[in-house]
Amino acid sequence: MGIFFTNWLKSNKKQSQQEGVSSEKNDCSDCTDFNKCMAVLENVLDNEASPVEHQFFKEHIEKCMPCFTKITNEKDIRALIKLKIQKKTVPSDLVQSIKSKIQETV
Amino acid sequence: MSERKRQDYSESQKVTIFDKEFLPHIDSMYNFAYRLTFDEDDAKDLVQETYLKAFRFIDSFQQGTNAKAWLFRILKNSFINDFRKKSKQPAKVDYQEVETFYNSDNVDESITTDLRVETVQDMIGDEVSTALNALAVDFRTVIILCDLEGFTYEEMAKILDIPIGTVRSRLHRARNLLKEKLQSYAQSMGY
Repeated sequence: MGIFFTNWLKSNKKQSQQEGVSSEKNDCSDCTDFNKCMAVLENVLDNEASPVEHQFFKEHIEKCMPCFTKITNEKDIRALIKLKIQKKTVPSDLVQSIKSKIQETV
Repeated sequence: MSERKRQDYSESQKVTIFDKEFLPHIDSMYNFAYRLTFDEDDAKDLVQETYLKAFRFIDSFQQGTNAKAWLFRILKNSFINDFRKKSKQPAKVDYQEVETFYNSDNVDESITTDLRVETVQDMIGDEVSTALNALAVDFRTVIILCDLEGFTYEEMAKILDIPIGTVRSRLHRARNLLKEKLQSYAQSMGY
């Protein structure tokens, strides 16, 4: 693991503490890299992970069942929430109303 | 985002940009507005106000850049600065929840808030929407922007005027709160 990633983890931990977030709790006792994984997992899920983080996590979940299960569950929950949140239909007259008001100003 | 170089569009260019780059986002804008105001008429007014502002300041928008993020930023600012004051239904804020967030050193912040996929699977849309709507506006907003609208952390930071580190931690906290609400709702419903 490169020095960049190590520094990133340190700064992320510091930032998290400043923001009031701690990833100290480890309820996946089988995972030896739990804190690192939790720091990276959300970045991976949100497509914000660096190539180094991606590589770390990809290799890690191939040999860590708790983290593999965790990320699968998190992915599924996010997809489900997105699916279940009901979309409101835009009122049919809204676009026309906006355009009319703009026409008045042009 | 406010550092953009001013453009000097002709009237027809303005209309083209408005029609081709701004209006396609009206669906997302209306849904965001509705999730902030919880009222269809208020949401409509807020979206209209946002689009009129966007047109008025269109010279500060650079064609081909991120119109959606720019519009969301205007809408969010309109909601905070103007709309909340005159809204029929003031934004619901769970002060205890916000206070807990800002004093959360001793709060369990683990990502491992226990929520099973099956629990969400069994819920109907209304229940999930209710859980989201029950979050304080700051938490609700980051979930909408990231999970429903797909904005990046950087875009969210610009829309909300907060550092990326705050986006990350607020999102983390918001998701845990949402999961807790879904979990307790599921338990109360006997899922």
